[in-house]
Formats: sequence, structure tokens, C-alpha cells
Amino acid sequence: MNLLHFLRREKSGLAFTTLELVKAEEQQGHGVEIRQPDETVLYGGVDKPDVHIIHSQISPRRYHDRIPKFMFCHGEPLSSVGNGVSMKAIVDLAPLCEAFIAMRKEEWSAWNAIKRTYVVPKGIDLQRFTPLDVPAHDPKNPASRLSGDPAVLYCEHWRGQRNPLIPLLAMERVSQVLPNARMHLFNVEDKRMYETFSALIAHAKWHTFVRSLMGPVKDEEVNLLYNRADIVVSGLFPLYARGIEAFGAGKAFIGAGYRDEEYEFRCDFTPESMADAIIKAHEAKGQFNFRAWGERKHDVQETVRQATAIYERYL
Amino acid sequence: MSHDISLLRPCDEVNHHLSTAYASIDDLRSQLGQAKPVSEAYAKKMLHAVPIAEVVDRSEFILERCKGRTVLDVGASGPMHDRIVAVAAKTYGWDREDGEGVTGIDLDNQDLHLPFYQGIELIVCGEVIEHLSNPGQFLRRLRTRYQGVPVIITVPNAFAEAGRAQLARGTEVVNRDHCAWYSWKTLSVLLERAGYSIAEFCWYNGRPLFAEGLIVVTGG
Repeated sequence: MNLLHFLRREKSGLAFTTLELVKAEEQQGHGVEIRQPDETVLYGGVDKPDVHIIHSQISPRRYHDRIPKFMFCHGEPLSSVGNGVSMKAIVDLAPLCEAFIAMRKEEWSAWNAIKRTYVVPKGIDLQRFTPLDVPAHDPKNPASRLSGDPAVLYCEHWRGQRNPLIPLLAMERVSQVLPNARMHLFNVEDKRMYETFSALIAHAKWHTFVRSLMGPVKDEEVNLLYNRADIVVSGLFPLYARGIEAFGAGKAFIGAGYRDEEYEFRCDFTPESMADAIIKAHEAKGQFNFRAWGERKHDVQETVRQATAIYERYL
Repeated sequence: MSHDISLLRPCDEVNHHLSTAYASIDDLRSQLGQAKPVSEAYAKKMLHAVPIAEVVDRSEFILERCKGRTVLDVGASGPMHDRIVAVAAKTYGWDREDGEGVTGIDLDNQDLHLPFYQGIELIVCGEVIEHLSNPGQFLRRLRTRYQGVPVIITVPNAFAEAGRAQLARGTEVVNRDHCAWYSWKTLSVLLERAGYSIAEFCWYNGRPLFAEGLIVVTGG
């Protein structure tokens, strides 16, 4: 099958997810191409696309070309309304699409109200996110394990309400039960966010358990960073995002938006509930195989198999 | 040789973009947040630094310079012309139609001899050249006719924020009589070819780079 994706070239979870989908499609023998909405080709090339796959925008010249179109719903419905443009753009494009494809079943009812929506598992590249042997903590070695038992990592993209406030409040509680627990905050790019959390940590005397407040993390270093930690936490709600990459590295992922009923370490978006989940994940160390969980639930190869099966129904 | 346009696939017309593609997904992934590297030759030809400039109120900017001076207002219609008349010592006007103190002329008419008025100290050419079929010819003739007289030129910005937002929805917002869009670079080239230098540059309405329009004052 020839698959033409439309993607805006920007550094975002949406783009990373799309590139992983395309890579897996290519590995499964499909012809692939990525274009920006302005038709600039970013990768690959297909003579005649069988389907167009929209990741938020598509070139207007494709609107009525009779090639089946599918919209991948990357964003969370409430955020899509809240940012003032995404939901309107999605609704505008809905009549052109055969169907929507969501990656979180909790969102199905919202997207399905707009267009027939299928749910596929949210996959990650398990060849990219893998367990690594990491040396014991050594303050002089930036590639060694992070300090703490457990070492809890937050490294999401900080912006607006996407910040580590709830995880920090949870860790305050965790540190009362597990005095050796330490938290490491990475990937803060925004100066005001940095200043806010520096002030907050100092004022609340959280130095006792916060050991890092670090700037941007290079994409190629993210897997190593996961491997340096024991537990990866998310401040997102009601969604989760790229944090599930931690499963690829064999690490626990704690996020209030992660609602899989089989997952033992679910939590609500409260400090108390998140603290309980962190402690539970720490106690399960060595007993629960997080890598195997990732392989069963979040393999991008399976995402692609299910998505292409959906496309085939419309050809 | 004629082509049956219905046989062209949509992607045929844009396949020339293929050369811009990345060699691998990993290459693309590693450079998502960065500008795509370009050759030195490409950069020299295609990339142009835009000067840092302030954003001003277009009317205030023009009126301040017209105060007490003898002004030729090109495109002399509407409330802006009335305000220029009110502040200038003396105002001459050109527009498509004759009017009070305004001479009706076709600025695209290459055979027309531009009227000359003694003592003109400033020419205002606001939101005019984007209407002209031959703006370069008009500007050359204007410079020859009024040598050394500074010209205030204002044009809508090709990259204006509001226009971009509408365009993303598939609608171009533009006066139906316009036949060109100008940016800092294209306006600079047009003026340079007409023999003008730029003495002042600023934006009007909005924020720098993506403001509603550009204002330049020529060096005469």
C-alpha cells in the first residue's frame, strides 16, 4: 500500500509519533511519503498514494482528489478545543475523511461524535526505546544512573499546564515513605518555568528530594535518560503522551492520563494517588516486566498493522 | 503541444519538491526543530536578513512628516487624503478620478507625462503600488520627475499574520484590485531598480515581521 502522510515539520510529540508510524510502515513493506501541508516533501516518495493520512493538516489541493483520507487524532479533545484552533480545523476536515483514527480509547466518544473513529494502540518504536546497561550513580558521569532509590524522572515538554507540579507534590509524599527517593526534572526550556520551579522548590524546601532541574534533552539522549531512572512520571491529564517510551526502556510509567485497566500502576491526577502509584511501582521493581508490557501494549508495528487494516477496508 | 490537464495527478505538479526530502526518518527526526540545512549558494540567493524595525501607526507616521510641507499625495482619496490636506502646507493629489485639488491620471499609462508641481517637499504613495501593473516603471518615472524628493511608500505585508491565518483555512485575504504582494526584500529590490535608496523602514499595525504592512521612506 502507498501511504502519503501530511505532517507539519516541527519538534513535537505528534511529529515523533508520525515518524515512528512511517518508519514501521516502511519496515512492513509499504510505500511511504511525508509531505508538509504546503506539499514540501520531507521523506520518501510514492508514485500514486492509495491513502492520505492527515496529522492535523493537509494541502488544500488534495481536498477533492478522491483518494481516501484518514485523520490521526493525536491531540486530546479538550486541549483541541482549548487551544482555539485544533478542534475547528479537525471539524473542517472531517467531511473529507473516511474515518478518524484515535490512539486512546478514552477519546473515542469525542472523536466518534465528529467522524467514525477507530482506535488503535498508541505505539512506540521499541527498537529505539530499549533497555541499556547503565553504570551505577556517579556524580561525575553524566551517563550514569540518576541518584535515588527510586530515581524518579520527569522529562516532558514543559508548557502552560504541562508542568511537574502534581508529580512534585506526589514526590513530597513519596519521600516521607521512601526517604532515599529522588526526583529529577529535565527538559525545561522556558525561562519563566525554570524560574517558577526554582523558586517553588527553594521555598517549599524540596531540595531534600529534588536533585535535578535541567534544560533541554536532545532527542538522541532520551532513551539513555529513561534508562538512567527507575520510574518516569507524567504531569499530563487527561491524556498521556510520549512518556510511555519509558516502557521501551523497561521502566515504570506513572501518569494520571494512562487508564489501561490492566495496568497495576494507574493513578488519579492527585498528589496522593500519584504518590501511591510511585511507591507501588517501586515495590514491584524486579517483579513486573515493563518492557514486556510495552511490547504487548505499545508496539508501533502493531499500531501500523491495525491502521493499515483499516485503510484497506476503504480501498 | 497541448496537455489534457485531467490526466495530471495532483502530485505531478509538485514532484520538483522531491529534492528537498531527507534521506532517512532518523535524519528528519533529528532535525525536526531546526531549519533544513541549505547550500551556501542557495542561502546567498534565497535567504535575506530582515532589518530590525519598529512598529508604528501608519497614519501618524505619514501625517507627522506631512506637517507644514508641500506634499504630493499619490492615491489621493479617502479620509487619509483629507487628513494630509489638513496638516500639510499645500497638497497636490493624483488619483484615478479628478477631484477637488486632485488630478485624475492612470499611473500605469506609460505614455502619460507625469504632471510636475514646483516646490514638492514630500511624496506620499500609500497603498498604491500594489494596485499597479507596472510599479517599477511608475517609480522610475516618478524619481525622474521629482528628483531628490523623498517618497513615503506603504504596502500590505505579504507575510502579515492575519493573512497567513486565513490562508491556512484556504482563503486569501486581498483587495481584488491588487496584483502584487510585497515583503521587505521584494520592495527593496523594486525600489533599488527604480533608482531609489531606502532611508527609513518600519512596520505598521501588528508585530515586527508579521505586521499588517511596511513603510519605507526613500532617500530621494
